[in-house]
Amino acid sequence: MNDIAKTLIATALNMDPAGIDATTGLATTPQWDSLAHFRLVLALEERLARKLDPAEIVSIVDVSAVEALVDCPSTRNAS
Amino acid sequence: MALSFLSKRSPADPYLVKPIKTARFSLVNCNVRQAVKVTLPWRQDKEVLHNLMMRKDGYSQLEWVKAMGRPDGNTLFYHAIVSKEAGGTIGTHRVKLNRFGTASMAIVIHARSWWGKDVFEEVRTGILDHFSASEKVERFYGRVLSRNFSSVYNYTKLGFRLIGYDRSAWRSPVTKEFCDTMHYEMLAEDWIARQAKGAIDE
Repeated sequence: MNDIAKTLIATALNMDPAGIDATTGLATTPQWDSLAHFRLVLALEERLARKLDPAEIVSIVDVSAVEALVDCPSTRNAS
Repeated sequence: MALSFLSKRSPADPYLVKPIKTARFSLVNCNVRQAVKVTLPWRQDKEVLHNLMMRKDGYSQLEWVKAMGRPDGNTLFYHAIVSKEAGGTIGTHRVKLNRFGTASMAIVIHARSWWGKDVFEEVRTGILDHFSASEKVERFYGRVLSRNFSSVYNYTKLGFRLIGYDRSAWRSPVTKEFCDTMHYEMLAEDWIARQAKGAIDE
């Protein structure tokens, strides 16, 4: 699992990164509430140094979606 | 009798105007005066006006009364969200029902201390349960700004289908920016099936 994605999610959800796994998601994780989701989207935008478009925003539902955004080739050089 | 053609208002639907109870809230169907009273805090709240996609960034009281419309128990409903524990109104939910059975929805939790406490999910579930039981309702619809991340989350969490999004479709009178919006829908029958499945799985 992508460590950056794991850290971003854990921070947004106020969870221990060790508790983030492939099953962590909007529908399955109680800590993933609306405020956590808000924090996560903003954290991703900060990480990617750009605003997400609607298709990306709506895709953020689980770990794999966050990994896909973080791993996006066009933003791989973002700090 | 001769003037009866001037009054085309149907009587309120006795089922749809019934009060709705959830675990923590009473959803009280409002008449015109009550709807204006519970929504008045919004009329100068720029954040609320922006996210509701209202036309102006501030309203006089008279303008607000006109903008809110007249809840009639048939096509327009305002439910005050009243906390059972505290007794105060923390927000309002609006349903507009058109003649094709589409119920368009909006919700404002103006008491910010209640943000992040699953109010949207609980209230919207109560509304969907209630309205989907009516033959008049075929479908639920909601439109939100794409950057209203909490609302996007809530629609997704409730299982609504994203039917599309439009880019730069609305210009905010508050921020002056062109904004993207998302469109969500849920058929009443799908909501009923979803709830039945949830009850079986428990």
